[in-house]
Amino acid sequence: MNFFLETLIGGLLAGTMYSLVAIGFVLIYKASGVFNFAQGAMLLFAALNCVSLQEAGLPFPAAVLASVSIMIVLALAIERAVLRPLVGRSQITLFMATLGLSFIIEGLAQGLMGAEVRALDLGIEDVPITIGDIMVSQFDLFAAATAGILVLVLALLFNKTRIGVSLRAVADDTRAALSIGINLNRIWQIVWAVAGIVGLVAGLLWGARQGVQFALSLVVLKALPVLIIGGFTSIGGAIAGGLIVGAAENLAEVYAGPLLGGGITPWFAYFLALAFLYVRPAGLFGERAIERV
Amino acid sequence: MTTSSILRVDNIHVIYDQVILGARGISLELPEGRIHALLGANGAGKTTTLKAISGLIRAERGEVTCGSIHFAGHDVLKSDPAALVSQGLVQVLEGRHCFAELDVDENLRVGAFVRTPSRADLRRGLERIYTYFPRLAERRRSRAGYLSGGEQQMLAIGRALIASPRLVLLDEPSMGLAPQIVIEIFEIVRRLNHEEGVSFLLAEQNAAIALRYSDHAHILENGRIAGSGPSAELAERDDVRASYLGIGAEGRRSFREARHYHSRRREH
Repeated sequence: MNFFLETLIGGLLAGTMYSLVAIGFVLIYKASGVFNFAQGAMLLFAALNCVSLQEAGLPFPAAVLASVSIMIVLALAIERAVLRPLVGRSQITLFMATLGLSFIIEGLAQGLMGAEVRALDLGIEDVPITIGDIMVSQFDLFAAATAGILVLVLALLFNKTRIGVSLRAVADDTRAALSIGINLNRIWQIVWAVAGIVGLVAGLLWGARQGVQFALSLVVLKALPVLIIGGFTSIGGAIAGGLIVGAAENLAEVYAGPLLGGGITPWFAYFLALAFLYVRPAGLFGERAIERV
Repeated sequence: MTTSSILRVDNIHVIYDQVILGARGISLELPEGRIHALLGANGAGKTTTLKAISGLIRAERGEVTCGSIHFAGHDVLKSDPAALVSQGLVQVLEGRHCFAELDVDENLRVGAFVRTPSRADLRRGLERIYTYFPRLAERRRSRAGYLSGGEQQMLAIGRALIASPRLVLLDEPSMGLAPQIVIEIFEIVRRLNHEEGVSFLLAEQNAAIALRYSDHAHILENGRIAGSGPSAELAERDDVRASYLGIGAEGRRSFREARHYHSRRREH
């Protein structure tokens, strides 16, 4: 029983890391209706920035602050150079633009800061601690707490501030938002900046776990099943999706893995997403548009 | 003209996607504090004209290729839509376009943000809208997506009014609504016009009601203005009655005659 609980909790905690990545997608998808393929590149870029600045001698908090500012500048640049000229174009056009953007950002990041694997030390030891009889990874707990705080901040931003209500209005009906004088360009700047900062947080946690390297940008692919399960339009869904994927992966690896010859983690999430597509195509918390009959 | 005009549209041409012509040479003038109507069939250019005035046309890859539009001294073609709203020009879109996932209160509040009101101003603004639309006050915590069509139209108008506009562009307010609700909405438009001096430019397919509630009307056909005049005079003109009110020169036709008339028209 303890072993089962350990596996489950380990999976859930690891799942919060997926959620963190997925939240970045949800933010941009909600506000501009585009699946931002460049989210992974932004995550890599942010983490690389932070590591490089730290290597250059900046203390960690200063490096994080500087990286946050860089992500804000990047968001402003993307809005001005990519989104604004393409306003009103079809979703697939915007998607292609973010695909191109991801290569530019990846190239830029590696060209400026090198392609070798960098170690990132957040000062949290990855040794398990025991709660009751259950062993839990300290690092996973820290990651989960960070994700929790981030979600709380985002929830306050969306529901309690004027910018948040405007963001939701834009997500709901862009044309109507434009008609009542909401400045779409500013909303996009804010959303991309927030998504960049979320990417920074996710990038630092993933980077601390597996080193800051090019493969970091591929966590995009891990976020896809999370989004399909949780829904593209809900932050709550991204969290639930991440938890489900994390837990299911861990449990499947431990209990079903031996029967299938092991090594099922890489594909199990996609299998799960496919199953969800059959029963709930909009995801668990995806918005099915309110339609009056 | 003695009263100063709040809106002057001068010979505008509008092109969508760089090929499709939406308006060709539309000119009109709206004195402050009046209600003017644009009448015409589907595709006549009513919505295009309104969106050219509000600047929203650019978000749909439309472009005003020549002519000029001036609103209260501002050159509309050089201003962005958000700036125009804060200067007092707001459009209520065809099909209402409420924020379905936001509740009634949030829908209205978001309409006021363009003026960056204080909390007290915001509260006063909300109360003002709720006195005009008591039905909305009853449902202030419901999500807009669950309101009836008439309530959504009221919400869309209220959301525009909370920004204290001087000119409201109202696109097809009667669309898909029961006749009783249409009258209720037009009565509120008239009250807003009388009590607060808000000017309205409204596009309507329902010519009968638009002529009843407007001071002056323009008839659009194929992107051009085919006729203009005081609404009361237009409502008496035989050609207008036949084409837009479905009434022949000799008075109201029977349904059978009207059907015969329409089929003859189609043959031409």
